[in-house]
Amino acid sequence: MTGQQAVGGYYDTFATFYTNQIGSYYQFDGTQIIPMTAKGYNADLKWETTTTYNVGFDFGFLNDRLTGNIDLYKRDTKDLLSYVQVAALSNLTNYLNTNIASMTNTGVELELNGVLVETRDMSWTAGFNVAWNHNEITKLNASSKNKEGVRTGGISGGTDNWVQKHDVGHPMSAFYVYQQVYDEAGKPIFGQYVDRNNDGVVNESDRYFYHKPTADFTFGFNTNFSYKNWTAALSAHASLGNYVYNNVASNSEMFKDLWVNNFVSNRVRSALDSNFDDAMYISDYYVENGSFLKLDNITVGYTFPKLFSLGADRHASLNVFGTVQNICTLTGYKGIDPEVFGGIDGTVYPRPRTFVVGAKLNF
Amino acid sequence: MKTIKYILSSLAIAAALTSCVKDLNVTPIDPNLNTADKALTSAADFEALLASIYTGYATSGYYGPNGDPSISGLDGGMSQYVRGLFHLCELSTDVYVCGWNDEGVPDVCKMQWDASTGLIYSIYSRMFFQIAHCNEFIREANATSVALPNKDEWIAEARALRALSYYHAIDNFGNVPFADETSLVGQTPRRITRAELYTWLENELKDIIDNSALADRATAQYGRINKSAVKMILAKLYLNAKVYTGTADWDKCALVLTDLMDDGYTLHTTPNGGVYSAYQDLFLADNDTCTDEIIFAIQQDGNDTQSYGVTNYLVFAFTGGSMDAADLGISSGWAGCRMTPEFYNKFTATDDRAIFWTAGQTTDVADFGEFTNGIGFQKYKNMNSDGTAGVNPGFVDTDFPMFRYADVLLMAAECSLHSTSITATDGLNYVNQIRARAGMAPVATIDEQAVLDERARELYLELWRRQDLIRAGQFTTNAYIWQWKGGVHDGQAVEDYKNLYPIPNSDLMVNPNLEQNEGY
Repeated sequence: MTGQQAVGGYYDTFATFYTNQIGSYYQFDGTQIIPMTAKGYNADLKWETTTTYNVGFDFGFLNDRLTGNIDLYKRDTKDLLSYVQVAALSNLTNYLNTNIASMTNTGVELELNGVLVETRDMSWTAGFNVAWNHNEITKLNASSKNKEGVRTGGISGGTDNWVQKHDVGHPMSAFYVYQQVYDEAGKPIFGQYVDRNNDGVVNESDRYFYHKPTADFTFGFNTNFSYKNWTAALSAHASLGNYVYNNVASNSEMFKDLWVNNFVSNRVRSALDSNFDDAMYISDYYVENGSFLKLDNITVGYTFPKLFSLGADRHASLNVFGTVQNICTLTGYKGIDPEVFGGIDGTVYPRPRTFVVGAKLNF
Repeated sequence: MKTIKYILSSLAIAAALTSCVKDLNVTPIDPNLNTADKALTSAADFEALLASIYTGYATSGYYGPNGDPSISGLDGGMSQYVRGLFHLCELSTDVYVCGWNDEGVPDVCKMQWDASTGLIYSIYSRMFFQIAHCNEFIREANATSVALPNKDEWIAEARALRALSYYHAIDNFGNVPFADETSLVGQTPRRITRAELYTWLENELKDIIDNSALADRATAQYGRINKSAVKMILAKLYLNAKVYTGTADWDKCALVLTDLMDDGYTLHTTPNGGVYSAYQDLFLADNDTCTDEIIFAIQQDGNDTQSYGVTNYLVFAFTGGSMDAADLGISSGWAGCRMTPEFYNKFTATDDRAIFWTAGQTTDVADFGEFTNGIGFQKYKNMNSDGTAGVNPGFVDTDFPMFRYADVLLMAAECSLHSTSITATDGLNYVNQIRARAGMAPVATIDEQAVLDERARELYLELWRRQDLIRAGQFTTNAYIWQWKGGVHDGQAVEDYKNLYPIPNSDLMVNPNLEQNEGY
């Protein structure tokens, strides 16, 4: 069993009073008063605990040329800590760090490492891992009456817009959005969502759960090769089944804001695909498959073992190498980078591709 | 030797455990954050705690207009108390439409909300946030050993503010959570029905008026609630008694209003400066001088009391199109809100209260999202009565008049149609006083529709429209249709259960004592 303590504020469990700052002062008969506000607290706050059950095998074949391990696990998290809504009038705030839910993660991890070639001049090794994980909320601590889950996933654009929800039977932070209506040519139709409950109006009750930010499968691959004084290495990783809310697109595609206050605003190019007049923040159109394969790193190097003599049997050696990081990303995702923690992509800056050329002198 | 080892190791463990426990006994080092034993040590501290209840109505949190909002999970500006009331009480009516696509704004404007509409949750949680903080003040003031010379007065003041928010709750949500100062922080509140809350409020308000140390008009400081404001809340309760309980209470309403009319308030009829009319003075940056008419106001100050709600919303969100923001004393507008043609048609051009902007605006709201569709408002301004601008073009100085004397007269006129406690002659006279100030000819007779329309002209953008329409049976029904009512351009009736707002689903989920309002 393990706990999690790095959540929440420092003084969540007892009463405190906060001195208001400028802008939140008040006047009694023209005399400035600096108010002091009582803050909310949760005296019952507990640690989050996780119980892990796992079975693993380590194995090796062919004189350990091929080694690996497989790990099956089930992690039950109880009293999951989250900053959530509390009953109106029960406290001095409407949100508190609260033990909200129980959650289960089940998964399998497989790791393989192989020595493909091992001779005096040449060596070639490769490693591969794959992991499958299934995440599900099993219980919400609050009452189950008229259950509606816990909102999360606030986005940029408009105010009070959110696109994710925690609910029983669904993965944590699953997307909770409207279903976009498309025309016959497959283009999204502005202003139209599907009336999923057929009550004649499209409102919040028509939202539905649509995918989740975490991946079903993740993969990792690395290989090292050396021949005489040459070395080369490559690493890559991939993810399948992770979805991303493209907040950059949803917040800058509307043509209505192209011309604001006599200035032309920047719009993203994908605005031509959606052709939306105004923002459609909560549309599932913006929840995109974020599966990807990333080639992370390639390094090639050469070592001069005896560059010059340092005396009897001692030589200085020189290693020169070239590295490229963040080489390419293969993905269908339309934003800049599908690898987003939490599943909401608001990044407009691409990750840099780095070229490094180096030399190491060893004495 | 072995024994010594055991003793040493247990000592080591004991030491480790002790230090661990002490490490968790933290106290705040933030100079602005204190525990009760350090925070509440003088009468001034308690006055500061009381003042925080007022900032709960006036700002969004502890730090300026939006920083660190005291309500979480919601945008600080959008969830501001008075702005939230505007969503419930005016955005939903014929007074104005708002073209923004922010969550819940179109739903409320088109009367298509449901129990999941976040915009409704935001004002719901604001109301109970206020009530919780009033309870907290009463608890702390009752329990303290600090000498408080004004203790009885301050506790009465917190009770009056609590009643104000419960009044907003009974009007908009009906059957709501209830707790007073006897409940503890962390305790889930019980449910109170609309009828039970009516009785509780009637008793509480009468007790504050008759038996409490609350200041009256003569002694109260500007910006603080006084006994006249409490009488106003009681009058509003009685005015809408039929809606709240099924049984009208016109006589009681007339008696409270008659009492209130003796408190010395008058209509503000002489302009403060030469630039604006007397009526316009009530909504200017220096309207804190209009204490002849304003009974209770939520204050704003361009530098010290800022929000994206209250009057700041009423100036900025209503400014756009070809309006010159400088005429309103602000930097630039947010271009959101315009009136429906049905509302516009209630006015004649000579009415001094028609503080509208027509240049470049169409009367018809053909395109809901387009600012130039629909006549604009300029009722609230960040301009002083001498024509100078407020101190800060980014935040207004204009206070929000929550209760004012013109409303007392119009309520009394309405009572005169139903109760003998106010004569028909007086009732007619009250309406004509109001009309005279607006430069309008007197009328010879009044009926319910005439009073309703006069209220619309006099009191628009002052939070009364929804309950006035409900009282007249015109909020949801076919009796009165306006553009975009029910979500269509020409307007249509909506379900009658929308005369009450839903209890937000998200609160039903965390409070098992609550029940959803009928129809939702």
